[in-house]
Amino acid sequence: MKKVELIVTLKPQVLDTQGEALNRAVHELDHDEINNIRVGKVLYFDIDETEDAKIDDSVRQLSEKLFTNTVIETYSYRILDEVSQ
Amino acid sequence: MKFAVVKFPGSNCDRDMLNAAVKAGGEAEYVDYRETSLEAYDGVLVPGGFSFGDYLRSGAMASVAPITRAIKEAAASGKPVLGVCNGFQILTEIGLLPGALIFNDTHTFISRNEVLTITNNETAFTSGYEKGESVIFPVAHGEGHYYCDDETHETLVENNRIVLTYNDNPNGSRADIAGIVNEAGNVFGLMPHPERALETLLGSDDGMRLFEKMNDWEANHDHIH
Repeated sequence: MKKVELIVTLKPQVLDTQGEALNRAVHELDHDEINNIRVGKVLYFDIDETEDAKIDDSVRQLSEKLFTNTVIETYSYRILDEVSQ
Repeated sequence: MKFAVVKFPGSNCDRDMLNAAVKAGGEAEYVDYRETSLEAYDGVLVPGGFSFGDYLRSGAMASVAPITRAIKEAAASGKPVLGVCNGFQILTEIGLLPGALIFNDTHTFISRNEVLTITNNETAFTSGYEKGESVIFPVAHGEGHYYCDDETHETLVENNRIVLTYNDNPNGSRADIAGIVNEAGNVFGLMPHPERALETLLGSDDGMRLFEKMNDWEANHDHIH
């Protein structure tokens, strides 16, 4: 059993209205050093596999079928060191 | 014509859609998202709402529901498939229409009447309108910004697949796009609600002709049966 962290973000060319709103709010707090905020999603899940290739296969299949809309989003994932019980 | 109105958990325009089909002279029945066949129907209506609470993304959970395969089969067999609002989002999620619907530029929910232009009256859905005609349909959406890449947009323009545009773009949609059809012309998705524009008393009856034309489908497409 492994734990996976999957990060879904809008593609760079897709307007991120949440990110833009946050960007404005951050500037109103006088933090002009912060820019280009993009908001994504993070999914954590357990996977009953130990081989990296099998994990990669499952994560990619599901990411492209359901977890992301590949027209507007991209994803990346990592297998966490922590092992689920 | 006998239409299926597909109901997902969270559909909320299903009754309006059924009413529109019946008012136009057709028959219509609700079909649950757990069903796996639409063979008994001549056309499919995918209503607006918030299928599965819009969890993950609008239309994402609906895209893997059991009925989805049947919707794709109906589309492949040439039956008319109409998706309105969340229905449009679902049709893009399941790949029957290109592009995607993202948050409105303002990130606010918009609910009001919009003036639209019929940019293509050569589809079997819009042949009851004049080309360039202005119509009024209500919109009610938070994620109605039609997004597609340059290549997709070019294909849509070249094949005259942009059917409906906003006169005063409320959500930032690319090229003012409010509705598109698939390449074969039998799948139509749009964000505005023609099924809420059936009575002048309520502001507009401009949606009526769309459903009347859908009900004439068999007469114009005798290959369905």
